[in-house]
Amino acid sequence: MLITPALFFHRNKVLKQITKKSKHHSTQLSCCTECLQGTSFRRFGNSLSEYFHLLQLWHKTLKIIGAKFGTSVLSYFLFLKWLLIFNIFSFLINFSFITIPQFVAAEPNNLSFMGLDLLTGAGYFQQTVLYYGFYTNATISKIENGSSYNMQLAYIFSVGIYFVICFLTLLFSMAKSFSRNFTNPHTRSGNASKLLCTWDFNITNEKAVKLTQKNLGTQIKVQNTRILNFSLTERVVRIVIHLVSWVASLGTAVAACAGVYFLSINNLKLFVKEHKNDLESQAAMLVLPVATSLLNAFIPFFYSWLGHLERFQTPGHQIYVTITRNIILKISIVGILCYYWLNIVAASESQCWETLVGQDIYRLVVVDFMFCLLGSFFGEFLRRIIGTTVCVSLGLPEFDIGRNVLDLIYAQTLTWIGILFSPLLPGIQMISFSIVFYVKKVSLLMNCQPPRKVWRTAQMTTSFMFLLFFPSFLGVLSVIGVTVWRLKPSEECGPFRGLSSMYAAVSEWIEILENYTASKWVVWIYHNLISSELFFFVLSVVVLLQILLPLAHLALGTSAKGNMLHTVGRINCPPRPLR
Amino acid sequence: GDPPGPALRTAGRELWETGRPPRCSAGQSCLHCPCPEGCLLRPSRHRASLVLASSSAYKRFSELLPKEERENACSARVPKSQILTLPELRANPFQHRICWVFSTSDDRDDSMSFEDFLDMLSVFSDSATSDIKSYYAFRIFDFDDDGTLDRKDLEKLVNCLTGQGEESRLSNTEMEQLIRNILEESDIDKDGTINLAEFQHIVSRSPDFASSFKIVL
Repeated sequence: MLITPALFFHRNKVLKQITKKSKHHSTQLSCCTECLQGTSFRRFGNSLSEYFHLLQLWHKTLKIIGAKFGTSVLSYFLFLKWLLIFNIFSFLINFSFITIPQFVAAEPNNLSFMGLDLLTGAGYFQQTVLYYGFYTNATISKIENGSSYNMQLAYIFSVGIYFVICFLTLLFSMAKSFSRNFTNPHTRSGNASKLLCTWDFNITNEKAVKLTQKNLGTQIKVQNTRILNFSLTERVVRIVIHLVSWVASLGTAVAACAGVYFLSINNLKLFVKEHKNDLESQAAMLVLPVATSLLNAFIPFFYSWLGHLERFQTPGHQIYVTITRNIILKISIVGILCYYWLNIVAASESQCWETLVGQDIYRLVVVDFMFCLLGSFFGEFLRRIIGTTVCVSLGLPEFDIGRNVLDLIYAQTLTWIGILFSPLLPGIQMISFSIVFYVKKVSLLMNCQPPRKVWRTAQMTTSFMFLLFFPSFLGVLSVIGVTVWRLKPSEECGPFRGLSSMYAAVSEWIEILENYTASKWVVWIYHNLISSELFFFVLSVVVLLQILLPLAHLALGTSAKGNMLHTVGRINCPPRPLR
Repeated sequence: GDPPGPALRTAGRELWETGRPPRCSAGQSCLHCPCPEGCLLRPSRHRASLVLASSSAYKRFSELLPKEERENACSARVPKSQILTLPELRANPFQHRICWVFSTSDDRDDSMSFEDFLDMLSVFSDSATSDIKSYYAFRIFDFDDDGTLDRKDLEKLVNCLTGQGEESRLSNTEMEQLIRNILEESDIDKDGTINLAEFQHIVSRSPDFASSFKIVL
C-alpha cells in the first residue's frame, strides 16, 4: 500500500521506454537523452503520493488487524473509517459555513451548566451552536456597507451540498462495488475450485496462519461430506419453521416500534409541560434513548438465535436472513421516531420544535455510543473471561461483523437525520466513531479469535454499502425533504423563523436575484433543475439504472457458457503480466 | 506470440529481463544503449527515482542487509534466508514459492535484488490489476514450474492451505475427492490440468481474490 501506485507508474514507464527503444534501433543516440530526461516530473508526483500514503489514517493499525484476522474483519474497520471521513467532511462544512459566522453574531448564554447536560444535550446546550434554535435569521455584516452573510442561505446550502456530495459518493462507490463483485455469474457453483484462491495473504501472524489453515481444513472436510437431501415432510417442516421465525421476528419489530412510539409520546409530554431543570425530568428524558438502545442491542440476539434454530443450508444464507431482519428492525424504529418528530413534535405548541428534535437525536446518538462501548465490554471482554475460565468449551468469542456494521449504519442514519436540527452532530459522531475505532480495535486484539467461516468479504461489503444507501440514505433524504419543503419552521427561533417553510428562503432569494442580469445563470439553474419535476424524474431514472444495470448483468449471467467459451478461446494467447 | 505450455514458465521472468534497464558495471557493454554516458548515468538515475518513490520499501530492504553492505543496497542481493525473516513473509505458507517466482538470481538461489523486491511488492499491491495478480498467483501455485496446475501441484497447494497439523490435514481419499471436484469444475478443456486461462476464470468468479492477494509493508 505504501509504495504502490508510484511504483507501478514507474514500472510501466520504464517498460514503455524500453519497448520503444528496442523498436527503433536507429535512434540509439536519442534514446540516451531520453533516459537522462527520464522521470523527473513523475518523480515529484511519486514522492508526493508516497507521503500521502504514509499519512493514511491508521495504516499500521489496519495492517495489524488484517494480519491477525484477515480481510473480513478488516472490512468492518475500513467501513468505519469511510463513515468517519464522511462525518469529518460534514463537520468541516457545517462548522466553517454555519457555526463560525454564528459566533460573530453570538448572543450571550445565560443558562448554567450541569454535568448531566452532557448526556441529555438539554439545559446549557440549548442555547449553544449545537442546535438549530440558536442560529440567527439575520444577515451578518461586520463591515458597514460591506458584503453581508445570509445565514438562511448558508444553512440550507451547506446541508444541501453535503447531501448532494454524499449522494454522489455513495452512488458511485456502490455502483463500482456492484459491478466489480456481483457481475460474476456462477457464484454458487464451483466452490471447490474457489478454494484455490482463498488464501488471505494479508494474514501474517503465525498463530493466525495456523488457525486459518485449521479452519480451511475443517471447512474442506465439511464441504466434501455434506450432501443435503430432504424428504417431503422435512421440507414442509423447514418451511413452517422459516415462516414461524419470520412472523416472530416481524412481530418483535412491530412490538418494539409500538414501545418506542408510546415512550416518545411520553417524552413529548415531559418537554411541553415543564421547563424546570431538575434532575428528575432530565433523567426521564433519557428513558426513550436508553429503551431504544436496549431494543437495538438485545433483539438481534433473539434474531441470531432464530437463525440457529432454522438451520439454513448455507451459512451465507443465514447471515443474509439475519441481516435483513436486523435492518428491518432498526429502520422501522428510526422510521417511527421520524414519524413522531415530523408529525407530532412539529405540530406541538412547543417554542422551538427543531431544537427538541435535535436534542432527541443527540441523546439517541450519545446513548447508542455508550451502548456500543458496553457491548464490546460485555459481548467481547466478559465473554472471553467466561469462555477461557468458567466454560472452556465456549472458547474465544468471534467478532460479529454483521451486527457491528449494522450498528454503524444505524448511527450514521441518526447523524444524517440530525444534521438539519443540530448542525454540529457530525462533529460528535466523528469523536464517537474514532473512540469506537480504538475500543473495537483493542477489544478485538485482546479478546477475539479470527472468524471460523470464510466470509465472502467483497460481496458483504457491497451489500453493506447498498444497505447504507437504500433504506438508510434515501430514507434520510425523504425525511429532510419533508422537513425543508413541507413543515413550518418555529416562529421564535432558528434561522428560518417567520417563513412558511425552510425552502421559502431559497425562493425569496431567487426572486431577488431575478433583478440582476449578472446572476441570470443561477436563476436558470433554479428554474430548470431544482424546481423542475422533469429533472428529478431523470435523476431517479439514472440512479435506478446505476443500480439495476449490474443486476441485469447478473440476470444475464445465465448465459455464462458463452463466457466460458470465450475464456477457452483465450487459452492460446500468451500471458501479458504487465501492461 | 509465444507458444503456450512450458514457455509460460519463464515468460514473466523474461519479460522482466527485457523490461529492466540494463545492468551496467564497469567495462561491461550495454545491451540496448551503447553510449557510455548512458550506461554510467542511467542505472543510478532510475534507482534514484525508484528510491524516492518507495523510500519505505528501500528502508525495509536495506535493513535485511548486513551493515557494511547497506551503502550500496541497490546492487546487493539479499539471500533467501534473510528475505524470509520479513514479518510479512515469515508465516506465509507460500514463502518459498514467492521467493522463487520473484527472484531473478542467475544462480537460482532465490536471492533477491532490490528490484526483485519491488517487483514483488508491486504485484502484491493494491494497484496491480487482477490479470497481473492472477498471473503471479498461478506461477506461485505452479510448484513444478511446468505452466499448468496438475494433480501434484493441486495437492501441494491444498496442503499449504490446510497446513500440516494433525486435525486439519486431509486424508488421501478426501484429497482425491477434492481434487476431482476442482478439476470437474474448472478443467474446461478436460486435459486433466488447470492452465492459466482456466485459473484466471476461477479468479474472475471470486471477487475476494483482489483484496486477499495483497501484502502490505
